[in-house]
Amino acid sequence: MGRILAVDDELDMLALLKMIIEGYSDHQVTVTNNPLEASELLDKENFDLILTDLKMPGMDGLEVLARARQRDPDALVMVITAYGSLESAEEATAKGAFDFITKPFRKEQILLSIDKAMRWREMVRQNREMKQLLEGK
Amino acid sequence: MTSALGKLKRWFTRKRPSPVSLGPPPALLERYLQYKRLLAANSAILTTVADLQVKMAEGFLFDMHYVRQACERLGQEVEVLVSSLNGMSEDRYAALDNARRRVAHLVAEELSGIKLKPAPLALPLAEIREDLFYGGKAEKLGELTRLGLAVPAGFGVSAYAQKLFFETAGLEKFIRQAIAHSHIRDLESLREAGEDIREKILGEPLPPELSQAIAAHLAALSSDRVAVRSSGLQEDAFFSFAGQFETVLNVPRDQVEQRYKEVIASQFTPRALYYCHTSGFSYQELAMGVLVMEMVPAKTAGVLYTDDPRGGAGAIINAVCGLGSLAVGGVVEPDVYRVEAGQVVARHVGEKTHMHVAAPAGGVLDVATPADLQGPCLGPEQVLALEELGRRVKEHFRSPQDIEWALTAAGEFYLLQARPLRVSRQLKADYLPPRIKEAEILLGNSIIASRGAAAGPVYVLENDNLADIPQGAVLVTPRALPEYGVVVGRVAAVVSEAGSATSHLATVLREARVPALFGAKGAASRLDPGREVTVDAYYGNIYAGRLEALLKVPREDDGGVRQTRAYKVLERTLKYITPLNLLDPRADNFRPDACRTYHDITRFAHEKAMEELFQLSAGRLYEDGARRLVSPIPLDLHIIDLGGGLSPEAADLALVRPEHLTSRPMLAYWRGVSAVGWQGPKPVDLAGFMSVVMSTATDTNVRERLHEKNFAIITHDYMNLSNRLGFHFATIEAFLGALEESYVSFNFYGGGAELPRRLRRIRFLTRVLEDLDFRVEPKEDSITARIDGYDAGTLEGKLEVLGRLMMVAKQLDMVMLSEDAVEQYYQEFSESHVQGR
Repeated sequence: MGRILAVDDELDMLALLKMIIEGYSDHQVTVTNNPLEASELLDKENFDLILTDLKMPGMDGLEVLARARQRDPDALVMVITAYGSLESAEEATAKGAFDFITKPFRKEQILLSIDKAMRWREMVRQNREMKQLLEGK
Repeated sequence: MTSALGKLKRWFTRKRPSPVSLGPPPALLERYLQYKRLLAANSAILTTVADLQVKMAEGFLFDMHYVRQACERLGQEVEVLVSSLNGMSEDRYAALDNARRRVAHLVAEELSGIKLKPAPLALPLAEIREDLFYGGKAEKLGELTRLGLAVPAGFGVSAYAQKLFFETAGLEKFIRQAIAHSHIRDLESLREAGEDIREKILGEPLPPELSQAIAAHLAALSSDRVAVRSSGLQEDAFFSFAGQFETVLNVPRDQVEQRYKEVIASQFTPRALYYCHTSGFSYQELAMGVLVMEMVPAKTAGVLYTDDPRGGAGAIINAVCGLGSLAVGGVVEPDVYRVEAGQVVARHVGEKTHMHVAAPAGGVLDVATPADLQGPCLGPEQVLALEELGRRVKEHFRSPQDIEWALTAAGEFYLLQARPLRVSRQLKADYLPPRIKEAEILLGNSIIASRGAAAGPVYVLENDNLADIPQGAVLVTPRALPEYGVVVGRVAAVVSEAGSATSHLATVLREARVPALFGAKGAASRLDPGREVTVDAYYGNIYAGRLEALLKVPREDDGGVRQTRAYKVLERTLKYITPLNLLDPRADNFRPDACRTYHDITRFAHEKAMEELFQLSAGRLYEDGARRLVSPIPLDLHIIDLGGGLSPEAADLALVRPEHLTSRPMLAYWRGVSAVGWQGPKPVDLAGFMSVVMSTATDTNVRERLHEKNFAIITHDYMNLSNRLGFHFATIEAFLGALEESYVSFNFYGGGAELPRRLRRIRFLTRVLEDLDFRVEPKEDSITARIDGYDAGTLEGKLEVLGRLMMVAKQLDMVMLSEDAVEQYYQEFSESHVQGR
């Protein structure tokens, strides 16, 4: 149903995210371990949600967040942060991340967070459509 | 005689010189500080272990980073633990550090992952098994071959062969350099590096033994064309570095070596190189097995899902004409067949506008589908035969399968690949066990020490008598002592009134998956022995009766988390961390060389540290640096404050009063002492005193003993009191901290009377102490007693009673005339001084 881009330099985490999300929901997940590649992928496709780890070599999650939002101010980005680094999660939220989740997390947590994000997106879209309808009148 | 008297007189009446300094003696202080350091490490270790166990058992998603960090933290804390113990004891436990190094090494080995060990370079499919480094694809086909199913003949080349190739050709070095020269922030530079690496690999010859192995196995195949396919070491497909050349079809025999190199080389994608930048080049990620199999002259090919990935019923088959390379990828519309209960229930004939065929020179040609091949690729019997084949594969692997297949013109099916199929699940309330509404809750809101549910008859533990616990009982105990770990095979569940979720026992129970609730106050009195109860360690309740709904909860569906590498590595590593072999300090195996895990080391160190701490008062203690306690009770008590035991106002005072005490254990003890007060003759009545000494003393050490001072070494949380009252020599020690750290110990030796009277005194004390839940070890005329497993507040209460006991015992000393007297005085003491009985 939704298209999700997942970026994390940890291969296990990427594989897990794809497996869990595709296994328990209708969403399709594109994965990459390279945040630089993520930029390219964002250019090629529209994603409904971007999941990104915060700490990655070369380009960290905040940059991915910035680029995503540069391209689309409504971009929904959820950051994954390691336990004990709440400050960076807070910074990400201040810079426009929709939500954050601390790893390790239970599968229910990530699935519910994604669900929440997708419903938010749907609501924003409907809102916009309705506004346009009203203005069109 | 007179000189002795004279000496005594002078000793009692001389003026004490003013103390040189009131600071704590450095040696004692150092030992105490090391003890505190050890306690902190102990706590950190147990907390980390508990966290790891919970993450594994409760469906958390975690990665290798988490596992490595946790293990590193553990390693550091265990190092601090052992060094603190040795710091306290003048390095008496060097052997424990050896044990630590041993375990640390084993942990590091597990974390560093699979090492490619020398294995046969190439093997026919039928001989390929796990642990030979041929990769998942090859292993599965090997299994199917051994099952007798139709798999094309072929062989595998192991990942070890790749390593050999790379090492021989100096490729490792080349790759490392290429990576080092590339820029992590520049995708283009990563691509270029990948190109350079690929070119280099293609240009290098294979080592002769590998060439020969490949040639030999090729010779055993009969077809003149083969398929070359990658078989990666990491489990399936959710994320791999695999590049373009995962599979090369229709390869002429003389090109097999070159294609082999191409498949290997195609791993070095920008993703792979990005990974290598930070994690380094490792064969674990970038070595693969390769399969070489006879080309099946496929008339039709496709994919079979033994289950509907969307969770619906039935098997799904898709099919195209020609080679299977067009079956997925959405380029051509394949036929789709659905089979349920042995019937073809749906069929969709796709517009298979073109197909792949084997090109004469090698490789694959894309051609338009000729008219006579339009229409369905498979007849109904063929569909059913294929589905049947799929079912056999699924049964063998015990999970849904995603199978690539091919059908020859002669009507024979071949299996080309089988891998686990992920079937969509619903995130339902199945994951949470049902909340029980109607049942009677006997006890609620306990701490969940080990998750799960179990039922059985209540058995209340008495006197630590573990041997009598019946099989399948729900064990109810007042405390959660590590020694109870032995009950693991016997009990259905454990309920303890005290204890924390990070305790040794909780760790043991979690590992054994025995449900347990701690902090269940009043359990021993509220649960009737023999009554059937259900322990709900999901929500922390105990219900009357046996609740099947709770017990039938199936093993949680983790969505495949348990198959991930991080989980498996952690599972293997925990073998060296969590099991507790050293359960009982009195057992033979309570030795450093018997320590097999970090948990063993932690337990050992904590026990020994307490022994070492006790020795604080064993050495020579000096009045210098000590204060004297002045109070209505004429006890000659010297106080050494190691920190926090006295209030700030008393910092410079040589004489202190009870109001200055801030040591929690000391205050509790003193409350008991003052409650009883002093009703006997003052010790300064030398005549009476000495007559007692001379007429009854048989102990030749008495003279020295009388010169001993009473010392109390205190801190805010600690007390080590060596006490002489009349002829009683008692050491009372207490530490009041976190639940698992707190204890009170009592050592008593009594002299100054003839033996029968001394023994009666011992019996009296033993009975009182046992009533107070101490574990008592009486010897002939001495006692060692100890209580732990209770929180600090409870232990304060015990200390207070001890204070009373010491005052009372002194006075009873001379009147323990008969056995009846023992009984009488015990009853009196119980009634007047032991609250709440």
